[in-house]
Amino acid sequence: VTTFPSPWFHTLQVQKSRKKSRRSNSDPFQERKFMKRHQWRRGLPFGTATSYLHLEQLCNSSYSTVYKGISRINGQLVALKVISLETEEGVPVTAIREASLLKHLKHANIVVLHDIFQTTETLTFVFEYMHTNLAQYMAQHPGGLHPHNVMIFMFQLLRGLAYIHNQLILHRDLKPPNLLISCLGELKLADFGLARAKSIPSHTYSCEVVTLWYRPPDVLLGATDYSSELDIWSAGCIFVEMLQGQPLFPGVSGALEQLQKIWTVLGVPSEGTWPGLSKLPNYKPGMISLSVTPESVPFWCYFVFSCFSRLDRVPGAEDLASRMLKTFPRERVSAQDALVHNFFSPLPAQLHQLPDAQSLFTVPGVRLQPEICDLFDPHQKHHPQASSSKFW
Amino acid sequence: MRHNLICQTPPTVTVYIKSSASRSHQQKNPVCLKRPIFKDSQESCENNVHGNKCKRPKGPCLVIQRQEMTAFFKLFDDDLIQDFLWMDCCCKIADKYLLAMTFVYFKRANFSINEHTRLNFFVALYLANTVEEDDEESKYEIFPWALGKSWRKLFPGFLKLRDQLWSRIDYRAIVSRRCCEEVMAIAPTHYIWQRERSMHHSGAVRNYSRDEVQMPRGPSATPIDCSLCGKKGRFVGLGLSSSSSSSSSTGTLEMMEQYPSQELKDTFPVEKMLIDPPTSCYFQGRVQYCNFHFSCLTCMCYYSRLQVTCIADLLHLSVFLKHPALTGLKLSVYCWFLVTELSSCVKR
Repeated sequence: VTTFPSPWFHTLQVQKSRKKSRRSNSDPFQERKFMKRHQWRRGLPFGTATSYLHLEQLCNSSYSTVYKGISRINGQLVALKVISLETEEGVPVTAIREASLLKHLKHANIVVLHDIFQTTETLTFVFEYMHTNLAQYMAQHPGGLHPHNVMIFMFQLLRGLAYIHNQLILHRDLKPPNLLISCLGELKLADFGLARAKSIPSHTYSCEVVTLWYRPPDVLLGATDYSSELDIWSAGCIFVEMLQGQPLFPGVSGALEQLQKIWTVLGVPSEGTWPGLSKLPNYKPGMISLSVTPESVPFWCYFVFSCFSRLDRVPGAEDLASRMLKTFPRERVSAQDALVHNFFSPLPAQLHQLPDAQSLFTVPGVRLQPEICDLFDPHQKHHPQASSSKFW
Repeated sequence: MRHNLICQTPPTVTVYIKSSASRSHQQKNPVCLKRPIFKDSQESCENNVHGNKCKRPKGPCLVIQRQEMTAFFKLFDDDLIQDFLWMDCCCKIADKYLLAMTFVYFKRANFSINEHTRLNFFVALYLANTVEEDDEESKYEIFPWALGKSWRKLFPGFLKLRDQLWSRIDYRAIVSRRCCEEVMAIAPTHYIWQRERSMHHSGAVRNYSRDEVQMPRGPSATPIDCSLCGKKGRFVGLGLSSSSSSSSSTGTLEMMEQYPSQELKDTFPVEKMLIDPPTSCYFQGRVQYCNFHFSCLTCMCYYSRLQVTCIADLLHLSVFLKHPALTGLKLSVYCWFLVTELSSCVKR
């Protein structure tokens, strides 16, 4: 049964949202009543469509539609990702990979795939229901998140990453919409459609991975021999974005502009700072030219990070960000090492000993702080409707 | 322990002799390897490598039996599959890991021996490619081999079969590298496990120009030359391994039938494998039809490495020699070569 956080909790202030909206399907209290009214049948089998009730549609993508739903087996809220099988391609590759990978992954910071069922025209994945995602959360709290909350989110993101990287799996599409957040503040990695095992180096890896803004410079330059550092770059971008309230490298036109944005912040790399740079597939000698000389990179780098208004005010944040956002992939910190960075030192030490399946929030004292905008204007909350876009 | 010498296992694998109850029958019971391989859904192989792993039930297990491995290897006696492997000279769609995954899928799907068919092989291999390769186009080459000339009409059905297989293996299409390596370690000298892909084939570069769209070539065309591998690739791709047959002959002499008892199944939840080198080896005692699209030179190499031991094979050769694809000068070269090669073998 759902437990609710302290009453002033921002995004999911259920009491307020109840006043504002009477939409039965998106209101947790209504759902509770609904659950009470229904006798859940424990005998119902997994793997069949009749075991789930479809509620409202949450989002729609090119190959799937996500519905909110309720499991008739145990009354839990679920997210039903319905994939159409009408094309002659059969089940999309992304779906095959996502389900196959999630079947192997059991971790408190990875979204749970409860069940899979098939009809003649559709394939449905049953995920645990999550209330929002990081993109929405940031949109609802503009101007950067509370540093304490950034710490909790970041710790969970890195914990999930350390787990999948330990299993030699790369996510390859880390971005705020793919990080789901529960009402407690639990963060989980989702959307493993681009994810892959990276254990056999001679197998084929594409450089067309990761959404442009979160794509590391080596992959922008066509590298296919990437490894876990790829996800670390994306996580670093998300980290700065959470603190700043703005995407770090919001490129628009393509890889070249994206690279320019990165060089502007981190300095222009050279063969000296990045061995093997000139051998990358898309590298052209003329393309790396800014008015910055490679020699000035460390100072420049420091200068730019200092310019991020909130990065330097949070102890350790700047250092952690700069370790994650190294242009030379091999210099990037690993998820495991990042977890013990002193940025996270305010968190209870026992978080490092938690078993994989145990949530951070089971440790006493771990909870989110109210976001700044919630404190100033607690009644002007987010619209509950906002939560009806992508979240599963 | 001669068995251990024959079938080398990775260092983390515990090698078990059968339990004391059957010690007295050890002559009849081969070594039984308990491997922490397929604890798929619960744990990765890597996580389970400690102490008494075989004593503690952890997730589902698969027992690889002698006939299954043998039946799987028998697939590679099929001429078409041999040709297919030959065509894939750079091991881009059928390298040793993908082939090991194919075997694991057969296991996970509980395929009976009757289901060890050419079609199921291609379906499983296609699924392995789907999961493990970012390169989208290479695997389409499987269609004409699996479905024949009308593959364009038939491929949606083929993909349905792939989806059915995926569902049958409980949607668990990921096979860890460790798993693959354990499977290969059962009979490490078999020629399919020599199919190593070069690192220079690891990048997946999407082809955007319409003109250069690479269509599957299928069995009726020669494989295109690989600029990266050069000619070397073709010879490697054939994967003839003389050690494959020799190891099996020594191995199988030692091996006896053993079926895991119910008691064993209950006590040992982790992987049980019977060391079982293939009894039917790739070309032992059997001459393959030559594949007409092979180059002359490689064909000669192919035959020169054959150990012809059976008179019946002469019949195969005669069929081969009559084939219309061999004409003119080429034919006479072949005839000359084969006849001399054959006669020398027969005399031996």
